[in-house]
Parts: sequence; structure tokens; C-alpha cells
Amino acid sequence: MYSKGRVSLDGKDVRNIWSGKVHLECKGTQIPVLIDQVVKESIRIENVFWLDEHRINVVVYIRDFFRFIKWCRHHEIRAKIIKKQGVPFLWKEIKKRKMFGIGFVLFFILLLCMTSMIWRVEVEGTNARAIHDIRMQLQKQGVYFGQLKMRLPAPSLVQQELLAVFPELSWVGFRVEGTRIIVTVVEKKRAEIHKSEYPSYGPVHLISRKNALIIDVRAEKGNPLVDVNDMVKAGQILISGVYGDPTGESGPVVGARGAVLGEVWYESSVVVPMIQKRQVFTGARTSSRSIHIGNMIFHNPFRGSASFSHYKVFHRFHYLHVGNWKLPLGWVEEEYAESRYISRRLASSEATRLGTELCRKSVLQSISANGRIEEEKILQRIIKNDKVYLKVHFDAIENIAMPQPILRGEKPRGEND
Amino acid sequence: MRKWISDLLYLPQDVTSGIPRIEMIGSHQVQVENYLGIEQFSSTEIKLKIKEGCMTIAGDDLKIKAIYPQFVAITGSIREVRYV
Repeated sequence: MYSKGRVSLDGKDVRNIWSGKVHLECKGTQIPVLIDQVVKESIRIENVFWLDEHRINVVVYIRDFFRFIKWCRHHEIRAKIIKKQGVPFLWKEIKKRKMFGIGFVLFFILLLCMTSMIWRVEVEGTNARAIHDIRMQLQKQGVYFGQLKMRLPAPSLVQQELLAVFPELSWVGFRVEGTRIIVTVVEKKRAEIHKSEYPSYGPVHLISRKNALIIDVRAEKGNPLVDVNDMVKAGQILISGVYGDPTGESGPVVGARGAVLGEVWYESSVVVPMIQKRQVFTGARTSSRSIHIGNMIFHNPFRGSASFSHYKVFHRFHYLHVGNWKLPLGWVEEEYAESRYISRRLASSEATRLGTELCRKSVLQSISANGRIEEEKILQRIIKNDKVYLKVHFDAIENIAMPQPILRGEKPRGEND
Repeated sequence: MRKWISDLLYLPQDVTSGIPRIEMIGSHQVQVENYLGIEQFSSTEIKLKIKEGCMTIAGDDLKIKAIYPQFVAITGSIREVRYV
């Protein structure tokens, strides 16, 4: 028995889209006999209807076509092909227009090739010179125009290496947008540029950066205007780059070079809470596995929830790979680690020690690299509301010299001080 | 005998006895399974051979949408389905 499921309502056999069909026009007198005959021969025909008294429209599958024609001849019926339909004919047509077909395929291949290449590398977030350096470095790592996307190094690797090569960068972002690579860099912001650390060659004076008491003057070049135990103010000329006339109005300009050590006073204040709260792990942990697609994690709804009141979740993502392609789905291991907060009460002496430590660190940051702290003294200590308020005084010895270009004809900055 | 078995096993009769099973969808399509052959075919009348003799489907603009050895689907505006 013929199974009904193979024919949809309008009689189209869904499974046969790949086999071609031929629309025929048959002309003759014995048409019903022909139809009966071919059906008995298990030739499938479709869409049979009368065009007029003697002509009939029939659709035959290619594989039955020649058998059908044989029966037509047998019953003296003339068959004329009206239309060819289906993939095999389309394929033939494509073969006939070979160049077009090749072009079509080539187009897609080319498109695929083009889109799997890097067309542009953009570096943003820094100046032109640094961009050039970063580009060169990227090229060494295999990130350049024309590189295949497949062969790009992992973003994390690029970031790591860039950070290692350029210590002045604090953060590197690396992302691929289509055929474009965008590298975003963030430069470290320096709290204060220590100009004294720059080699001071050329026509410069050395002036004071800070109010200080002079401890030592080490002039290599130039005319020192200050002496040990002098008090200087910020901006005051320490070593003049002009010989002879100390006002700098005349005389040969030789430039100044050297270091001037001064004692500088710093004052730093800090607040230290005496009750310190922190999160610690108890060691109890459970883990579960879930499926994730993109950034969405699909939890098993029947799993028991973590029984901890305070916990931290660690995700470990695993991705499925197809060849070199990383699919945006996979499974994720989630680890629930139980934690609790412990609060510790510091003794006031302990808090004071911690506070002074903090102050010292902040002062050390603001003095130049070869400076040192000579003396420290707690000026004020107030314990209020479980907090220790500290004010600490520091005596630091550091190089206070800073180069300043000599401007003839107009007064340089700081000359008035 | 066949009828007796099909009654016994609660099988539909068209499965066992080879008599036609006719399915009509509105008035625009008739599907006949288990027919034996086509006797006559025109745009107004189609005569099918079946086990019990003959059946006629009359209407206008009749088309054989699909025809296989044991299945035929006829479309058009069908007026009557008659046993002869």
C-alpha cells in the first residue's frame, strides 16, 4: 500500500526537490489509456490536466522520462517538453555557463578569504610616536595587515606581551571587530614628573622645586648661587647657567648641571579605622556544572542551591571547538566557596603604626627617586569613633633641583621669588 | 473472511480488504487510495476502477495532482463522487 505520509496535501512530494521534473504536453487520442498504463508501470506522474480536447499537461520525473516517452510512442501520442524544473537542470544550466558559475563560486571564496584577513590595525589612546612603536611590536607578535584571523595570537597573550614591552602602559585592550583590530592602550598617569631626574643639558638654570633647607650643593657645571644651610623657596635659582653676572642678564651661557640636596618638610594626614572587616573563606566548597551560550548560563533548575549564607562564585568557562573555531557555547564549572566576614579590632598602637606606614608610603611616592626620609614625627593623634586620626610630619632629603630654560630678554618664571 | 479478521482484530477495513479509502478535503480535493486504474479522464469527469466496480468523480477543471499505482489525488471544483 502506498504510504500516505509521503504526499503533502497538494500532491507535491517534498522529498523530491532534488530530482528534476519535466513538464510535458501530450497530444493524442488514447490519453486515458496512456495514463492508466504508465501508472501501472509505476511511473510517477503529477499535475495531469487537459489543456483542450486532445492535449494534456503532465509532469514526469527525470528518471521515468524515457520510459514515459516509450509508452507515448506505443500509444501514438506526441509529447513536447514545455518546461524543465529542478536542481539537475539548474546544474546543467550552470555547467553551460561555466565561467559564470566559476565566477560565482570564486566570489564566495574570495569573500571568505577577505573576511578572514586582518585589514586594519588601529591603535588608540596614545601619541603618534608611541603608536608606531606599538605597531612594530604588534607586527612582531603576528598582528599586522594581511594576517589571517585564524593565526592571530590570543588577545590575553598580546596584552600581556605589550604590557611587558612597554612599561609605561597601564592597560591594553585588544579586540577584533570584523576585519579590524583595535588595540586600546592606557598610559600610566604619573603623579608628578620629577624634572630633576631628567639630565639637564643645554642652556638651563637649575631652580628649586620646593621650599627647602639646602644640605648639599653638587654643581657640575654652572654658577651655584646658594650655599649649604640656606633656605630656598620654590622656583628660586639654585645653580645659574650664566657665568659671571648672577642676575643672568649678561655673561656667557654655559648651562647648569648638578644636584642640590635639600631638606623638605612634608605633612601627611590619614584616618585608620580600628575595626577592620574582611572576607575569608572557610574552606567549604561545592561545585556544579552548567551549560552556557554566549554570556548566558543555563542552570539546571532541579539542582539544589548552595547552602551557604555567604559565598563567592568562581566560574571556569570551557568552550566547544570546531577545528580552529571557538564556539560561543560550552560548559561552565561553578565553584561556590563559603566565606564569612571577620572583623578585627586593632589596638590604638597598632592602628597608629599602620597609619604612619601609610603616610610614609605616600610621602615616599611624592619625593624624587633618590630621596630618603630623615625623620618622622607624629604631630597629632586623635582617637574618635573607633578611628585613629593621624597627622605626621616628615623630614625628607632629596634632590630639589629642576632645570629651567634660560630666556634672554624676558624674565624667566620664578626669577622674582 | 477478511472482514471477519478485521472485525476480530479491530483493524480498519481499508487496510485489510483492499477496498478504496476516499478522503475529501472540502470540495476541491479528493484523494483515493487502493484504486485499481483509470477508465476515463476528462476535465469534467474522472472514472476510477475500484474493487467493487467503478467510481466517478464529476466536477469542473478536474486535474490529477498526483497519481501513483495505489494513490490518486484529484483537485478541481468537485460536484459529486459517485459509485457506479
